[in-house]
Amino acid sequence: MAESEEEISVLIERVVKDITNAFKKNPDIDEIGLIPCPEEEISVLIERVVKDITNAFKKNPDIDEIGLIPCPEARCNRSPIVLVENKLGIESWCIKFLLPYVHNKLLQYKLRKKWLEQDVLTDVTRTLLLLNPDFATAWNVRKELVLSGTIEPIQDLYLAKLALTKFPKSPETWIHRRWVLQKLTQEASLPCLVNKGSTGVELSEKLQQIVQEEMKVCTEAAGRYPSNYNAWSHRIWVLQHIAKCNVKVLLDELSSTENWVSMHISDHSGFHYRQFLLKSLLAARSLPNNALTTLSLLHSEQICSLPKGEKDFQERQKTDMSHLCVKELALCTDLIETYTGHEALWCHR
Amino acid sequence: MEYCMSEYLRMSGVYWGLTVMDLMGQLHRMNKDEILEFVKPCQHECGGISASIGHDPHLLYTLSAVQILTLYNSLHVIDVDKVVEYVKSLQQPDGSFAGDQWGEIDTRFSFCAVATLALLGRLDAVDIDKAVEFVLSCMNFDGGFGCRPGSESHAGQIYCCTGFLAITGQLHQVNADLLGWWLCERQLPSGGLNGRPEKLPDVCYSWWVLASLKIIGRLHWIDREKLEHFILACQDEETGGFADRPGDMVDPFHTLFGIAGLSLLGNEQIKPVNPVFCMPEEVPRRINVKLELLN
Repeated sequence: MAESEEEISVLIERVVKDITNAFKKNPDIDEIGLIPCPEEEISVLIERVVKDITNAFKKNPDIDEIGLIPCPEARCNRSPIVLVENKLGIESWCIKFLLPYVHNKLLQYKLRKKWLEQDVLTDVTRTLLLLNPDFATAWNVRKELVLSGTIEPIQDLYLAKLALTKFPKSPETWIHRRWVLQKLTQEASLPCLVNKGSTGVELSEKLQQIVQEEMKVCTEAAGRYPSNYNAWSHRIWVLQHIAKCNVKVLLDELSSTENWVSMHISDHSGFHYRQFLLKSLLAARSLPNNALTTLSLLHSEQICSLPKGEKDFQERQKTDMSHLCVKELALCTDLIETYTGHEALWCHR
Repeated sequence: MEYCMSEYLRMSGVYWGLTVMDLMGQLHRMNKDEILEFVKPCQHECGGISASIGHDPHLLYTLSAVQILTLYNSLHVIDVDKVVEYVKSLQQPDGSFAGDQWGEIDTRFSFCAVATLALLGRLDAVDIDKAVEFVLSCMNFDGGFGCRPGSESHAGQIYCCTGFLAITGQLHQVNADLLGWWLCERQLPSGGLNGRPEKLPDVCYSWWVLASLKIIGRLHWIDREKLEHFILACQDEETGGFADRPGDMVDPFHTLFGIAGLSLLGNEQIKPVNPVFCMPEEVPRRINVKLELLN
């Protein structure tokens, strides 16, 4: 890497100069020797960096983005960790020292060569994952920390979200997210579905919050990388396993993504997502509770009594679905006419 | 530092490097002993194998390790029975496979599981029928496959699923014409192949898509000359390696798939490659792995 070569040669020039100056300063030097210490110095530097990162998060729990600051040289004694409002920056020069050091530190722990306390593990894995979130083993260490109660699941949702601001595709990050969500929603005390009478079955408030947050994270990641397969397949997973394909959620998603896909017409994943929503709504049609929800939400008038007779009921369902499909086709046609030559739109049709 | 960054996939990296060397008849230039010494301590107590020493075991790296040892005819270096136990333990009630103890489900892992067992001659260790059921449930209306039921079709996943079906003798369940059409639609004017509609071409898709086409007997649906031209354009003249597309940085991953793709296209400087295992054809043949592809 050009950066490191420059860095090293600058360093070496300085060392050579120091030696020259030492002789100028003291012409009576009568002995030379090696002082074994460089490793210790580097480790002190790096421990400080890791601490700086930890403190940054303590100081500002609302950090919402991380990034590398291209900066080939250290600015004498200044920390490479830069916190500006809600953005955490790491100066690039320190990565080549920082990463191998924390990486090896974690491996020494895994190989049972050096025990690390839980809070140290937390800091080390966080540093590692902000730099290299595909390091699955580091995520797994955090899974153990979650299981032992050292880390709250929500902390890791936050860490994963940050990692995704810089690495929006990272498969291991999405995988870890799914594991955390499963843990979070498995808790026996967490209510899932709430029967809301005339509007049918809805998700509990807590679950709704979780789902909404996931939709937000997915949207952001989808915006950061075109046709982000991992973000969209995660989104589908959340609807299938957390929201349990609740009709209200599906309908909300259909309306909230309409604008997005219109702005990202080459995004095949976005359109596939809408196909998934429509298909799931079709499938949900066969469940009476969900059908009621569909009916009530598409027709804003109050439903005082159940639709009379099976035939009537099914007719309404069919109309609702074909209404949705017609809408979708209209959207498609509109987009195709506005933006010619986009394969994804035709596939969607 | 780059070594650190990619250590999490080291076992696969070794497999890519060795395989491409073997395809070019140059395996002898690699240090066999050193590599075997590296693989051995990566097997954990559960039988699973990790990407590197100290990392956690996973099906992905278990397959890569078995492929490496198969290339070197050195399976004795690890405990094969334990590997089989590990793979078996990852199968779920619905037939799917988790990647590791933490439970992520993906059709890639179904492929890793059966490919590993096939190379070890132990396909009988898992419930193949259920495994097939799950993979088929991931088939989409366009004939393609996604990572889980309901997921978008993706060339990489399609490769894994068609490979899986080839190993389990279930290729007749594929709609070869429909899927073949989807796959050859991946070819762009540049001659290169992408992984999904409206994505950029990438040399690694030359492998995922091409191998899938070969498996379902529709290789001729691709314009071979244009693809070969694209792959060769991805080779860097200075280093000799291949990048994802012309002009980009080279790496072993794309180098392997570029060479493997050329092999499938019939390049005579390269050994014939097996489209399911992505290893020289002579290797699965040597160990009597039976594979029937579609015509």
